[in-house]
Amino acid sequence: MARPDVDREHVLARTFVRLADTLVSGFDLVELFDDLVTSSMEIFELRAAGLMLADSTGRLRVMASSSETARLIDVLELQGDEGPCVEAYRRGEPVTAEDPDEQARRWPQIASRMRELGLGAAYAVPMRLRDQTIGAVNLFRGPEKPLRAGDLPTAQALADVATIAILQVRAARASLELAEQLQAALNSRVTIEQAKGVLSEYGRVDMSVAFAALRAYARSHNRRLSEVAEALAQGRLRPERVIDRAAP
Amino acid sequence: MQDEPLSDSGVTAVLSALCAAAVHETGASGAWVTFLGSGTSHLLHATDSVAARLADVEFTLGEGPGLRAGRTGRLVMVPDVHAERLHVLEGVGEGQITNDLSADLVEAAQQLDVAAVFAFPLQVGAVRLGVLELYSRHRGPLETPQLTAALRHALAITHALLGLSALESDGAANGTVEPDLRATNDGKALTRAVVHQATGMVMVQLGTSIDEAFTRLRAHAFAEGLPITEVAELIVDRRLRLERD
Repeated sequence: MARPDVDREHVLARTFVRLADTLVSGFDLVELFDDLVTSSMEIFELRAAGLMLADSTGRLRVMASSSETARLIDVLELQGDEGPCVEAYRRGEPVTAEDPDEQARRWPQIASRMRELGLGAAYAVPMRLRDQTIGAVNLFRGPEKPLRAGDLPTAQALADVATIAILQVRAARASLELAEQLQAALNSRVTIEQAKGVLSEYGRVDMSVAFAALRAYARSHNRRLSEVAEALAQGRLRPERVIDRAAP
Repeated sequence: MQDEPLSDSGVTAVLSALCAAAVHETGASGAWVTFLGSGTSHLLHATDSVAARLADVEFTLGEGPGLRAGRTGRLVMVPDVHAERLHVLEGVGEGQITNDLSADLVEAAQQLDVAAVFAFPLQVGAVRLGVLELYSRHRGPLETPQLTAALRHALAITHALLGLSALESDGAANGTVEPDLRATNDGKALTRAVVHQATGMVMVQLGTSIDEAFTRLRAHAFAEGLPITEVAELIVDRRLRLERD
């Protein structure tokens, strides 16, 4: 059993380095959050993960999801105004609910949907910047598969590094206020969804394939994800440059 | 198509309330909202004659913080209109702080006793709807709480502009509904990724701009009497295609 642990430590170390890397290179908050979610899936062997940020009205919005299932549970949380992420954001503290009965008591509206979606032990860690909570990260394991001791603090540490990156970016760009930065990131997320729609329709592929194509294009052209998405959605970049047209 | 609901008197009441609140909470002297369409722009509301005059100057010159914010989708802040035209501080992904204005604009501001202008894009992803602009008689940047308040109002105005066609049917557009309520209702639909994905798909289906695609998507939902999220789900599931006119 030693082997998987070693692999895991490697992935964790790589993730920290990559997140720290974003502090110095030009990067996208959207990509950072996406990276955080994707890495967390792998490191903690999760069933689903998601990240929510508060907009300028204080309303939480989905910023990144590991899958459509993860997105669905995030949306249900937001609609029901309850769930691990909502709670972690409100309290500014990590949330743990491993037992289904406890989940049903705490989140009566969404607990059964969580089970239907194959989600078991649920956790969330807040994203804190100085004295302000700006969002939270949702972590779901499979049924009867709680996180190992020490995993939740590690998840919190990852979220902390990502959150600190926001401050760093602002300093590096002589940029504006946090509120504006977060608003811009949320708007970029919307633009990415629009660009996914463009690629999905043009290439006749589902949204996850469309997203993969978008990300691959941005990486291979060394451009920021949100920049490519905006160019696509505004018709300045033709979809055929990014994805093949499906045969009719 | 967007012009019709926007000319409704209920809209004016909502915009008027939101602009007044924005001015109050930011300590600005006045505010105005400009609608940006494909190749057109028009003033939707101004809190006073100075704001209306500034809007007119920008429109006439074809340049200014508002048009720049509308074009780029980024916040444009001019904390000191009369500062030496030296530097532009620009965030890569976010807004810019600038004093890079044309001499005509600076002169007009001077005549109107305006010291600072702040422009906030009203947008949904890549869809550009318009701009909220604030002016102040005192120079200096917006402090954090004021900036946050301005962003919050820009979001509420965006939602208000979008909520109108959907609300007309139940008579809510007559101005009796609280602006906050309108904003909340439409704001919820806007948090759904499926709506934005469908907008991108419609853009390809119709071969139009993203702005037009969003308008068509909303118009379809309105015409069918369905929530926009439901229409969006049909489109993303490929059970519905919007046809070209």
